[in-house]
Amino acid sequence: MIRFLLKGLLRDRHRSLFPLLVISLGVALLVLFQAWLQGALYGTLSNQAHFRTGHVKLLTRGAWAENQSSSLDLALSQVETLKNELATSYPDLNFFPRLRFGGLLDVPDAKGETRSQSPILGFGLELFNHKQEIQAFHLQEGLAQGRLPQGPGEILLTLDLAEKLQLTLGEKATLISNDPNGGMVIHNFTLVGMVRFGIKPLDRASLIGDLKDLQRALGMRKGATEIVGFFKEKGLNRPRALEIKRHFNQNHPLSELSPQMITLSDQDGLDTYLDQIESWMSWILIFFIGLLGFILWNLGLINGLRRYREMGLRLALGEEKKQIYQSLLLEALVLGLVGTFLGTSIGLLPAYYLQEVGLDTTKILTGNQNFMIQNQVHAKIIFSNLWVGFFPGLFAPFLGTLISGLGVFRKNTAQILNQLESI
Amino acid sequence: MRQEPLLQAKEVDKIYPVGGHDFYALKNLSFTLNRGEFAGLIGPSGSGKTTLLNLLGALDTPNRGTIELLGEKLSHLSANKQALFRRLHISFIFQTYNLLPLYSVFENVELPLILLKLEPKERKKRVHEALEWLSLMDKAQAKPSQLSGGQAQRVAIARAMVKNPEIILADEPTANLDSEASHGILKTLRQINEEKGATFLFSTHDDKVIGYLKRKITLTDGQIVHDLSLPEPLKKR
Repeated sequence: MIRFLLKGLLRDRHRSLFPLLVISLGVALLVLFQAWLQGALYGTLSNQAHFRTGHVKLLTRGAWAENQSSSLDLALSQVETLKNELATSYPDLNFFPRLRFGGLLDVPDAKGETRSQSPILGFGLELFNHKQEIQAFHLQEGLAQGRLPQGPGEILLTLDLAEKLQLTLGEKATLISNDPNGGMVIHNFTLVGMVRFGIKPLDRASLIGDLKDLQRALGMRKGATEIVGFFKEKGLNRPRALEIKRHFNQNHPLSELSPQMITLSDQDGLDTYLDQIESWMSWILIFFIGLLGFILWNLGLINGLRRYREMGLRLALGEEKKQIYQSLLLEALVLGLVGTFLGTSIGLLPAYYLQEVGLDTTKILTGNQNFMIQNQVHAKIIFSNLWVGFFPGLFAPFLGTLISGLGVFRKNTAQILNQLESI
Repeated sequence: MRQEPLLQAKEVDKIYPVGGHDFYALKNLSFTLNRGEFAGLIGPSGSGKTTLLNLLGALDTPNRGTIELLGEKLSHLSANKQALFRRLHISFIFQTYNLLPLYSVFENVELPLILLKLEPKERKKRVHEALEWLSLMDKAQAKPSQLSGGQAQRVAIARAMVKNPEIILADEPTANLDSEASHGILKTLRQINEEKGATFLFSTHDDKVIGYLKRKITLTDGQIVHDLSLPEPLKKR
């Protein structure tokens, strides 16, 4: 009998091809949508963490009170000691001191006169001995020209800034800034590479150099504006970050220059953003699953109803109601499974493409952005992409058939047969 | 010839609630159908023909009285046992043929045998026999949509006779056919009755069908008002 029914299923496009297309398409869209949301929302957050906030961050109370001022007079001192203390107390995180500062970059002509000049946002990172910072800032991938700094006096500029300053590789530029005491600092650097982050706020005017090199240049040998910490495994762990923050802050004094621990959630309204991401993700997925489920449920329902003729005949020929009902459910199950597998596979293909290549959003996102939104937004394939489609793809048509098929039991056989005559 | 009772209805009532009142579709109805009969329930619309046919076919149960087929009280059987009874002993021929449009003529006729779980070889043999009997072998692979009304009804007849049932219940089998096709079908049914000994009970108000019947049971308002058996076979047309 199963073979007989399978023949009918394959021959009837309304029963096989059409539901299969709807299920596959719906599931594919759901999987793609989920991967895209995951990548776009958490990618932005990940960028924010890597470039700016860390999962936790240490800075002076004064700098925190001044809204994370990068003013060097509010920088942390004895950074190596602090870093060792953090590494010992919280071994589940990696810590990196960073120097964030402002200044002017002046490019002289042959006579020593200013040829071009621009304000810059400077980053001093542990470039020489720590690959993690190079990875965190995507410096290797973002290198558009030249190479990474390998020794003192070498810097990177963003491509936009270098073009604006008409500075080419190997040319010298002068950094004009302040030391922690407010004194003017002038230091010459050689441009060895140009990078593109793909993030507007960074690409405008960033200068990147080695931490120690810039500490020397800015006259703050053991200082840094912040120490950022990242969980070694599985990304941000909000409860643990909060626990570390409380533990650290309880054990340190409250003076203006004493260190204070903050978490990613404390910065840039990210607490709200994180809550919103989780809430949005849940609601959007619930809505999408619900909508798709409703469509597919109706599909199952209609499919069941339009086969009353066949059911009536099968009853008249002596098939039991239970057998007919089971065969309908089996059919819905097979269609749901095949459609969901197909839909998941189809959805993962563009999701993979968007994960690897991304989508250029420069034309979509205009104006000043405070968040580190990458110009190239990527999807992110996660484990739940593999099973999320089963809710609407498998259960909805199955439920629809389950309910529509109940009509076989509710009506007596003669009623179904009379309907059969009237069709 | 000794008359062997095949089907017996005793004091049957079938009641439907209509507008808060009980409507008696069948009232205190009794009759016996013997093996090998070619009988018809005759009467106008609403006289209770189809209701009685449904009860005799184990598709419905009476509110009062009993219906016995092969000595088994149908109304006392569970729904599953009734289904089994239909599968083994009863066949239907419908006014609208009710062939499954996705399946070939061969597959439509094969379906009752699949439900009986017969081996494919045995099924094929029986289907071929039925199709040959009804001169449908050349249409075995055709789909119902490729058939004329008369051909479709012949396929429905093949489907009804393929399992050699005890009784074939035919509800207005010629209602959708023209005169020529109707006579062709009715001759075939009489032939099956006479040569294979199959028992037929029709529900009809079509004079063409009535002309072929050996027994006419006239229903009016849910009751039998005439029950006339013709002792001599009908003249050939």
